[in-house]
Amino acid sequence: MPDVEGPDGGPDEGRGGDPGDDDDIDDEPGSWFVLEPAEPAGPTSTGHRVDDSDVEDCGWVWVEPVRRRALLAVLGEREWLDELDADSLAGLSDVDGEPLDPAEVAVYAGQLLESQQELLADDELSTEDFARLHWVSTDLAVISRTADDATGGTSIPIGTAASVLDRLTRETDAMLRRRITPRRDGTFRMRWSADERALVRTAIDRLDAVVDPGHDALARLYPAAYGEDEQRSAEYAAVANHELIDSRRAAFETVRRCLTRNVIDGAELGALMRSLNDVRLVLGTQLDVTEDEDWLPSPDSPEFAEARTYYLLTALLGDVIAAMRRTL
Amino acid sequence: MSGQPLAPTPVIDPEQDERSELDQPWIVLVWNDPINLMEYVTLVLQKLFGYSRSKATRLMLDVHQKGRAVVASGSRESCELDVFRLHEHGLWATMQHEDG
Repeated sequence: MPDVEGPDGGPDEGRGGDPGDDDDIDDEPGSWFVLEPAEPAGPTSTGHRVDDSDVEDCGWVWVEPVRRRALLAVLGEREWLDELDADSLAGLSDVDGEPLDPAEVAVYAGQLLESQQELLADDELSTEDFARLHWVSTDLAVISRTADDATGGTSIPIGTAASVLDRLTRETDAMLRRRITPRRDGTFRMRWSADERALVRTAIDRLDAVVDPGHDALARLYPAAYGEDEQRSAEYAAVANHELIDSRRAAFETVRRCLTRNVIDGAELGALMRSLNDVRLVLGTQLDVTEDEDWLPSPDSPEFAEARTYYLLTALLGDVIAAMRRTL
Repeated sequence: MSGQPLAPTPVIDPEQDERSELDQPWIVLVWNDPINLMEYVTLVLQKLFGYSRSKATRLMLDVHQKGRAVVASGSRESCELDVFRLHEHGLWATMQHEDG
């Protein structure tokens, strides 16, 4: 069995679930800032088969403008940026370990800061922009931390920026990992992007079209109940399989319904968990996934697109598992 | 799914000696597979059987490391229900006689 994150899916899908991490920003009293998702602008359709374009993107609202302004002020002064020089940035290298040119890093940091300031100034961020804020802040945190270490903590502006950015990225990271969060009334808030919802919707529609156990690729969903006892297994399957199909179809229908909303209940979360796992089982079987951690087709192989879908669905299942875990 | 016997009704087999069937407890096994996530298996065992996180984790690790684990036992009927619920959640579950 693989761990929930699986092999690294690359920088674009680097946010995997981390079920071992029980940090909960929503409940943390000393939190620097609290983020809450935006309510959809208009009434959300609850119809069964709405078009994917109707899905609302549940973005993020910064509910503590005072703290947001503080971040803007501390980082936006640029004083810390002006203190970055060749010596303080000498320790940085790229992903391949090659040293980076300090002058280029300084320019890059300026661009990042500009981006970050724009994102911090927005009252409400889409899911994609919130993720962008996280990655921009992460790079700035690495740069400022490296400079702070290189200068031995002697520069107050750099040291302040480093600690503020560390904290900011820890919190945005925790928020990104907790994209389905419980609410006081027992329901859950789901912060998946429209693209992610469309991915799930498409995958489930594809499986629903062939959910019959007679289909070769689906055998994994209907294991022989009595193992090698073929007669008993067949007798069991004759009775149980249509119940399993009905149960799966009902779950798929529930998922289609709840993908159009930002608030879902516990039963819907359960249906989402089972359905996502069903899709992974079928896709993973077709891709011949092994427990080898290095398993991943090369980008130019014909299987790459499906493998990418597989890992994206795995990351989404990680969100569901983390939320479900907190109901036990 | 609460309490409703939605699982398969017991197989009627006139050739079978029902009494000796009842005397022999059945066990439910979960088998290792490369796709189900460890955390998912643990969660499902907790959810379906009410196990503590530590017990469910121990069973999951047995599945992962030894290839299989006994996750429940009882009458044939109750084991069939357990197998059904595990299959509903995509786990690779089978049942057999305890001695078999």
